[in-house]
Amino acid sequence: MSQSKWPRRRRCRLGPTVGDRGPRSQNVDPPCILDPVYGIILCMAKVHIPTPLRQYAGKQAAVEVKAGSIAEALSDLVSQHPDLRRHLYTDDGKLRAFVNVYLNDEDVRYLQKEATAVKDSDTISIVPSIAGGRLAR
Amino acid sequence: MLRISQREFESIRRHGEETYPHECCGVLLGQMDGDIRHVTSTARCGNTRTDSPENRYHIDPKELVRIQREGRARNEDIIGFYHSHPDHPARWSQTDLAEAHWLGCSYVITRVAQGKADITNSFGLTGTDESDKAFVDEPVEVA
Repeated sequence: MSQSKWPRRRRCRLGPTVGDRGPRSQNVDPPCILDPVYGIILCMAKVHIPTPLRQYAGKQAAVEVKAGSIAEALSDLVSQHPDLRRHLYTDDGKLRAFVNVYLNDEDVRYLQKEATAVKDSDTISIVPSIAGGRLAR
Repeated sequence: MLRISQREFESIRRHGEETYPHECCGVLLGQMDGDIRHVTSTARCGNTRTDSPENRYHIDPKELVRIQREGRARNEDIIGFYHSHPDHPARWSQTDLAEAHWLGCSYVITRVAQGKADITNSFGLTGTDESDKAFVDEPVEVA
């Protein structure tokens, strides 16, 4: 069986028939949204954009995304604002090494990386690294 | 141009003296108004480069997340950073440029000579991405 291209995500708790009930369910705390196609819960999370990248995000300091994981949050972010892509990802689609992604106060590298689950009202911060020093490399 | 109050300007220079012979580092918060970056507060950070603190600095991103959050509550954005060069010119190094990723922000460097803050310069990080980024000298207005 082929590996799913989707990262690990929170599965619908309501079973396959829930899609019949429409995109929202009383069993899912709003504003979480039940994806009727994939049967997964997508939450509304806020991504804080660092000052240098705001010009590529409609000059917004924060963007609301629908996501069940960090990977989906970033994917939704760049689909809303495609100009952000080259600043966040390398040409081969990897997150740039100097781009730190925090879920609330935790570095996602120390959680489940981009597969880290996102809950409703979580805040995601994109934080380019800060370093340097007088000695030449 | 970087506009900063005398109080904040002295604060970042004192920080360099206090951490000498190690490099200090911190964040400049305020507002961007066209080409003017107006510093309204500064935040001292710890230097996590304990392996080579006399010639390297690194700010824990977790500290940046906190500073960014506290700044938002005051309606301030991160508009730049500062660090010191102990017994070394207040000019950016190749390491400073290679590790600079906040395009459009100010990078302030203070030379600390024998424990005393000497020259302080500011450099704006220009460019559209990593491939064409460059530091340019930036006037500092202390008021």
